[in-house]
Amino acid sequence: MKIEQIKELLEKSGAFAWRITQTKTKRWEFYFIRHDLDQNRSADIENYQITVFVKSEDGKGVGSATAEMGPDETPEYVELTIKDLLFQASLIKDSYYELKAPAALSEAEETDVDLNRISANFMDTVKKLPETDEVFMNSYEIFVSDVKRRIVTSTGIDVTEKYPVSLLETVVNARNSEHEIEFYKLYDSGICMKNDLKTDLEKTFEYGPSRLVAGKTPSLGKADVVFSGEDAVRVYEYFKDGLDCAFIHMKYSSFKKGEPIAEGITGDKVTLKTLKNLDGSSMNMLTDPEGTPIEDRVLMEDDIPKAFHGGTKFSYYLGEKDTFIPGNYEVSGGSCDKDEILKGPVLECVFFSDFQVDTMSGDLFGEIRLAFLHEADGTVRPVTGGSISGNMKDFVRNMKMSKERSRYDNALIPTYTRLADVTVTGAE
Amino acid sequence: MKAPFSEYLEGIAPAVKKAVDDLSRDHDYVSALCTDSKGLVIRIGSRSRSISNKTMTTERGVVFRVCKDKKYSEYAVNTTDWSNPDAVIAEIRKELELQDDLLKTSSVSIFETGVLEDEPIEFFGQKETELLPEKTDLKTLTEKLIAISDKGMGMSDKIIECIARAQSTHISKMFLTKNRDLRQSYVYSEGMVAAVASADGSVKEDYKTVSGIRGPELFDEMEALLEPVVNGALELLDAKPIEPGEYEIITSPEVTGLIAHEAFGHGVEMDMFVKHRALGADYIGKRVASDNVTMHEGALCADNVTSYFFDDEGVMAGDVTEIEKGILKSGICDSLAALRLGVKPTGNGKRENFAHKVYTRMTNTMFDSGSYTKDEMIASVKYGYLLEGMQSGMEDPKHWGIQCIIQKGREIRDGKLTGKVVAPVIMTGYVPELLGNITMCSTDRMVFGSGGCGKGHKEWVKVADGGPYLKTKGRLG
Repeated sequence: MKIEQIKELLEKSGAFAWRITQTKTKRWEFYFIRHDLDQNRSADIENYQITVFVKSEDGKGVGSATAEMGPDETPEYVELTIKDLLFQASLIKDSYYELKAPAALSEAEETDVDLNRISANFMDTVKKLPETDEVFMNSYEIFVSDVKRRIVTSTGIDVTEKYPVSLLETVVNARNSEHEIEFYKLYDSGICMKNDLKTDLEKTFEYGPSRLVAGKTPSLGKADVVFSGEDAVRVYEYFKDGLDCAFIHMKYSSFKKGEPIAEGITGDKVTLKTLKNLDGSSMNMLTDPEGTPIEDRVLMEDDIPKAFHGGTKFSYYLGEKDTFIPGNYEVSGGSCDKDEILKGPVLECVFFSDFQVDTMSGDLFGEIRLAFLHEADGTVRPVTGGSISGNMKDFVRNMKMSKERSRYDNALIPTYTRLADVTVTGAE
Repeated sequence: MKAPFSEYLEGIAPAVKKAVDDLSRDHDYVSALCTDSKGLVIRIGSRSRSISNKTMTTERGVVFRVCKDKKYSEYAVNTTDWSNPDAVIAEIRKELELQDDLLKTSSVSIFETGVLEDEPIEFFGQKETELLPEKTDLKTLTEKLIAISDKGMGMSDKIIECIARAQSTHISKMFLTKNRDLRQSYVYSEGMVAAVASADGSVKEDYKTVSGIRGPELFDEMEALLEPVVNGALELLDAKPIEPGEYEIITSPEVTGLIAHEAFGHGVEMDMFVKHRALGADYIGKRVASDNVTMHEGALCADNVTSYFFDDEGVMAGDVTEIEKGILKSGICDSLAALRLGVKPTGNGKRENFAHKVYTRMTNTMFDSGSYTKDEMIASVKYGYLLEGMQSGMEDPKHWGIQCIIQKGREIRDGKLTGKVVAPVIMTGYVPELLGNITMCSTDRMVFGSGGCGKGHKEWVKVADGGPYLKTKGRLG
């Protein structure tokens, strides 16, 4: 079954609107135990996602239904599926909205994705890490994909993009005569960013000895906490999701354009901008998953929302017709040098079990795997265990952000972020 | 009726078998897992509604596993024209040769592994269901979900959204080797009702679920979830943060299940033993919990979303006693890990879908019941919390740390619930301590299968877990 045949069937179906997304993925995978190959895999996958939109009889509502299918379905099956989708879409009704018309788009570049070379670069980078008897790679998994995506809609959008998507999972262990610990990390990227990867993994190697001798986290009550790495990305997702048309329409977010997101803000303020391209990101695409062009756009400036982002439906409801679903974004740097942001007393958390920010309620929580307790007198000691908790709605008033920034896949954010009065439950 | 087996898989079986036989001529082991699973998801909210045929486990494709010179490789595909199996065979050989070239160029050494057993087995299993997701009455079901959502929205001005979601998947899988032909089909379903409440700038959500190895008939049970969910969300608006500290706790069966899953689910996945990533390997035969604790894991030890006949490596489902009266007896194991460790596989080899690798994964992870009533357990608490509702969990198998994010805690003082609610609650601690302090288990037990489980932070599969109410001590924050 070819996309042109599906398109033809949809055009004849009488649907109010429709969208087809065809995704072809060629993926290579390599799994290692220490540096021995556990197994190698290759995957060749193609999928079609068809969404049909039906306008209600009174013209005030639109329903939609989606089907996913493989490439080997017969035209008869596809025709039957489209008929089913029309019926299903007629059963549900959202407020009226329309699909977007095609917008001017720069020509998509046919990126040459060399699975062999990217895979080799990952293997080479991990092999060259400074392992010792005390700190070493326990295991790692390499995933490299060559993705080709085509989006076609009834409104005339027809865009094809080809891009690499990579993932490296690493487990770094450290041991002494008493015990052995591990650090687990996932690295998402487009291609293999050798230098970034090496720098970050070497930092993890440096943390190993500290974790081995870490004492129990004391019960600090309320304390300042510094976040970095992917955990800090979770913090900034609170701001990004709060600017999402869906969150605003659903009343999950109370952000308003032109008004500060909280009263009495005394700390560093967040400026958040979407980016079409971010070197190393796995999300460098010209268009979003609905085929709308992605732009560089300031969404929030100094804690004041300037624009919202989101998909077709919720953007239409808010009258925000010039929106898109962002891939990459950046948060501008704050006012602090590294020394200033780590000035004690502060708990610098560098590894959690699973740090989470509920972007709807603002609640955040995480069990501490490794943190450094910076005392007021400048002494620093590693601690482990216990947890942190609190709510972003309180923390936004007094955030401190480093001037220095780092990239984690699709997010370029301040390297260090300090939140005040976080509840720290000790392990002692 | 019995869940029908996929006609598509019946159709491609001879061609896949031909490919397996052909590859077997120059490989030490060859298998093919073929999948064709169809589904249905209806999500009804007051502001957004959708219908789709894609659930977490809908898929169609084939994955070949081959072993040559003690090295295992796989090729997954759904782009194949099965009328020409020779072309598929040629493609598999070409792809794996390309990868072999890279491995040679990069001087990669192999984790040498023996050859998997291929004793002859023929099996065909179908589980009972009243309805099929692909043939259910969508109009009636949609109206039922709309009615739940509408009723929830009308229950309080503070409810800003009420979502009713029903999803059902009809699984068909076929596992072929030179000597094995295993086929199975079954249907599992999950229903969820969620309510979002808002007041004074605070936004809180509560939810409850039903799940089972049944068809869409399960969704009749969803309406009963509505009132407790709406009340739960409203309750969360007034909940206060907990004073951090160690408390006597009683875990509801849902939280019990989360502990089972994180503590001695992930902690005894034996592919982690191969990598020396799990402390459990050193504790087989040793005490890891109190005498009151017995735990089982396996597709056969409960009827829920992952109660299959055989796993994704063609191993028949099992029921493993992991902990017996506090002593760690056994872990769970996929086939390759079993071969490497010199033990028998337990039927726990699972893939996210055909395109993903097999890992050792959980199925039903359950604490056994005890002899107390819930009321007796609450009455025994001087000062502590009844913990209800789970959000997420994470384990550290290397150090036996555990993190459980729990919806809420109900204060207990002098053996009585005071009505005070704290939320959210993060429970952390050391697994043997948490399980070692279990002093009471209730007579009843429940299974929950609406969640997904990742290996690390990826490779999502369906799992179920549960057990009775447990009384222990926990560090809450």
